[in-house]
Order: sequence, then structure tokens, then C-alpha cells
Amino acid sequence: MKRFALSVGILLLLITRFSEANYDDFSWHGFVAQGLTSSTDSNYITTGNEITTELTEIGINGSYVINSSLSVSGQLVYLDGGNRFRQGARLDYLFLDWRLTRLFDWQVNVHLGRYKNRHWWYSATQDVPQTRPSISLPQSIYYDGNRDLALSSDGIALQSAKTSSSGTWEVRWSYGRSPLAREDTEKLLSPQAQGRVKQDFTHQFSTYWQPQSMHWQLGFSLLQSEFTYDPAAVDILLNGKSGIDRLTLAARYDSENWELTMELLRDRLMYEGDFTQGIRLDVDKTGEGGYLQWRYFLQNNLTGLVRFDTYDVDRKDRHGKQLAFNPFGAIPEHYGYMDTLTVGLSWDIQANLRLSGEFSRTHGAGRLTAVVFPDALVYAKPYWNAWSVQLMYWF
Amino acid sequence: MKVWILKAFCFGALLVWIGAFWTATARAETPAQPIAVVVNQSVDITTLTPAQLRMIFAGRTQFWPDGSRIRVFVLPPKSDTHQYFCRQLLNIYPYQLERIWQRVVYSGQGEAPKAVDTAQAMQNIIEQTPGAIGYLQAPGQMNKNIRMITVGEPL
Repeated sequence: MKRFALSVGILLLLITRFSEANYDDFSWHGFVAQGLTSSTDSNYITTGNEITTELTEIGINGSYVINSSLSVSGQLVYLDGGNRFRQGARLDYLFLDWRLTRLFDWQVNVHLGRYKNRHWWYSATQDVPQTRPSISLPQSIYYDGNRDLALSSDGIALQSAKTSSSGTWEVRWSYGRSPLAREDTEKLLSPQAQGRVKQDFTHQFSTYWQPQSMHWQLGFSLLQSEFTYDPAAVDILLNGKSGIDRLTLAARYDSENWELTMELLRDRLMYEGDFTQGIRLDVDKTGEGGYLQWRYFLQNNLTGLVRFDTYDVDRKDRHGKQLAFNPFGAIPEHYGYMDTLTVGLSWDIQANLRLSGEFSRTHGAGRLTAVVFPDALVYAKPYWNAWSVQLMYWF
Repeated sequence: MKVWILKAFCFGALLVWIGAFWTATARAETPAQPIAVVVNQSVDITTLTPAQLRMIFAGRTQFWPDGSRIRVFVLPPKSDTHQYFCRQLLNIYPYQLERIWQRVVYSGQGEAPKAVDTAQAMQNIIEQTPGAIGYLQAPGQMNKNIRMITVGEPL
């Protein structure tokens, strides 16, 4: 909390100090988005099929160029996404950007501090409503339960972009860790767990290539992360460790009037832990999934979207049959997978004002929560729906 | 299990496609027109490759080789001149460029170009701003503090 307050203080100081001075090297931007949303037959967004205004995103960011080698950038966000996220303010990023080269053709930057994850298509700006293709991102890759973990980390990141007549190569590497709130432990593990889950590290690498024709962009990313459970004095879990290895493949094709985007992933999840009842947990399973998304620019200010998103929690149990034998109690089969079809429409009313709406039909609930402890499951029937309408303004 | 969703995806895509034809209001082909890349006299550069030009207008390169700031100006994104500039000189669609700007601005990596309303305003701001770069359609008489630069691969 002290670190958060300090970071907020630094960011506000930057904004007030330099905006008052109208300093040419200081810039700031922001966004405000408010909507209506609901999930029916599922507690993914709302509980009990209710319609809610808990679809609020407010953010402000600032960037100050110290000299030709150094800048500092940060962003504060307030988020209310119903049951999807922890409600409240957070410091999304605050980092020192060190430019190692001054070449036109080759940019190398080092980010120190709370850097942003730039390893997936939408991860660099998944917190900014008008930059997303839809109000909710595909859960196979951009799992809402991991939002804060996936968005940014405290540590070091390096990125290189080299352009030539053969195309543009981007290479990114990062190493850091994310602080986790108490609610994250409940979501990741169980509401009964009294201790705290801590991320030991997250280590990521990605590379993307875009040919000179600029139609295609192809890439892949790797992630490795480990977590440790720090038990409370009286607790159901005596100790615990978990690890994630993840591979994603990405491709995008841009045409005059449409774009086709795809990301595929395979993630290996490992858990180990001892419980007070003498139960030892030892899980090692590999999930697979991905999405295919097609956006059509119907007119200059109207965009349609169709997306198919799929995820199987365990590639050796794609129908969730083995979940009935879970040592902590049987879990319904439909928590072993999740397939979602989404259709959406966005209307750019003005250059910085957009109205978006979307509807999704989902079969399964395997990406609503970590599927290990029955008491941590988010309620959902085998088939359920969700819809959202959001008005967003940015400056 | 997933076959129905794939079928529904294809059906949805077909609906959007039909909608696209239904609503297509003659997406005007941008006529070819000569465009010149112009800079303030303070810029010590005479030639840029298309890739370098793209890095600058995408907001990814923010400094000239002498360490001074690059100030990038564009005409309104919907204007014919901007549309033509993106397609012919940057070799990207205007929406791709806007997508890059959003990513640069909202991930703390730089600043998007500033838009000016008219060609005359573009001339004036390039003339008055050290380190400025922009573009103009078929410039005839140019202000004294502005010059054109060549865009092409090195010989």
C-alpha cells in the first residue's frame, strides 16, 4: 500500500508539475468508459442474471522526456468490471525508459520499474478500452482472473525493433514479479486459504516479424512463472508451490477492409502442496486454447467483430470427465473446457468517442477460475450468455 | 462439441460480410496525387528510406541523429492526403497507423503525431517548429523555412 501511494504521488507530481509548466517534453492522456453489462446463467460478470453498471474504466497516463536517452512514463487506472476484476484503483505501470540506440532503423529500449507486458497482441494496452477489439478480450489468452498479473510486473524489460527492406523484427524480453492482492489468493486458490500467494518471478520472451508489405505479422512468445504459498498461522494449506510454462503463437492479416487475428496457446500448470487433512496435492496438466477473430470495417466509423475462442483445461481430458475424481470434491464436467462465440459492433461517433456492444454465447466454464478447488469455482451452467454495451471517450 | 460453434462462427462471419456489402457506401478510392515529405530547415537529413519514414510517423523513432526531438505532424486522418500518404509512402493502411499510435501512447512509449487541419496550417507549423516533419500535397510555393526530403532506398 505504501509503495502504491508513493507511486501515485510520483505520477501525480509529474502530471501537475509539468502540465502547469506546459512543458513541451511532457505529455498526458486518458480515457473514461462506462457501460451496462450482464451475464446470464453464470456469475462471470454479474450474480443472479442482474444487469449492472459495473463496467467502468478510468485512466490517466503521463510521460516525461528527460533527455534523448531517458523518459519516465506511468498510468493510473480505476477499474470496476463486476465479478471479473478486483474493483478499485491500481498503478498499471510506472517505468524509466532508457533508449540505448539513436538509430532510425534500430530502436533498443530498457524499461526499469513497473513495466508493461508487451508479449501478446493486446497485452500492451489491454487496460485501455478503445484499443481493445472488444469490451472483453478472449479468455483463452487474456484470462480476466490474471488481469493484474499479466498486465505489468516490477522488474526489467528489454525491447528491440529493427526495420529494413526485408521487414520489421521486434524482440522483447522481461523479468520481474507482480504483487498480488488478498483477493487474488482467493481467486487463484480458495476462499478458505488464509495465507497469501506470492509470485516469485515471471520470465518472458517474444518475437514478432512483419514483412515490408505490412499485411502479415507473425510471432511467438514464451512465459515461465513460479508462485509460492505463504501460509497463515492457522490455515488449511501448509505449504504450496506452483509453476506455469506457456507458449503462444500469433498471426494477424490486415486487409483494406478487414483484419484476421489469431493467437494459440499451450500452458502447462503445475501445483504442489500439503493440506492439514493429510492430503497432498500434486497436479501437472497442460491446457490448450486460442482464438480466431475477424473484424470488418463496415464503414469508416463502423466495425463488426466475430470471434471464436476455445480453451481446454487439460489436453488429456478435453471433456472434463476426470474432474469428477478431484481429491477436494467432484467438479462438474463443463469446468474442463470453455468455448465462446462473440459478435460485436463498434461505432466511432467522433474521433475520440466510441460506442461498443457485444454478445457472447459460451459452452463450458473452464476459464472462469482456476479449476482445482470446488469452493473457488465461479458458478456457471454448461451454457451461458454475456453481453455488454460501453461508451468510451479518450483524450 | 465445438463443431456447432465453428458453424456459428462461419455463419456470423457471413452475416458481417453481407452487412458489409449492404452498408458499403462507395469506399472512395483515393486518387493518386503527388505528396512531398517536408521538414523544418533545422533538420540535417536529406533522404529517408520508407522504413525509416514509417518508424518516424509511427512514433517509434523520436530523435534525429543529432539528438534533437522529432516533431511529427499529420493532416486529419480522414483526409485524402493523409490516406494517400499512408498507403503510398508508408505502405500501410491508415487504420494500421492509428492502431500503432494508440499502442505507443497508451503504453508509455511515446507520443502520437499532432494533427493539423489544413495544408496551410501544416506549412506554418513545420516552418515554426524546429525538428518538425510532415507532408504536403503537391507543394508549389513553400515557406522559406521548409524544405522537401527524398524518400527512397539508398542507391
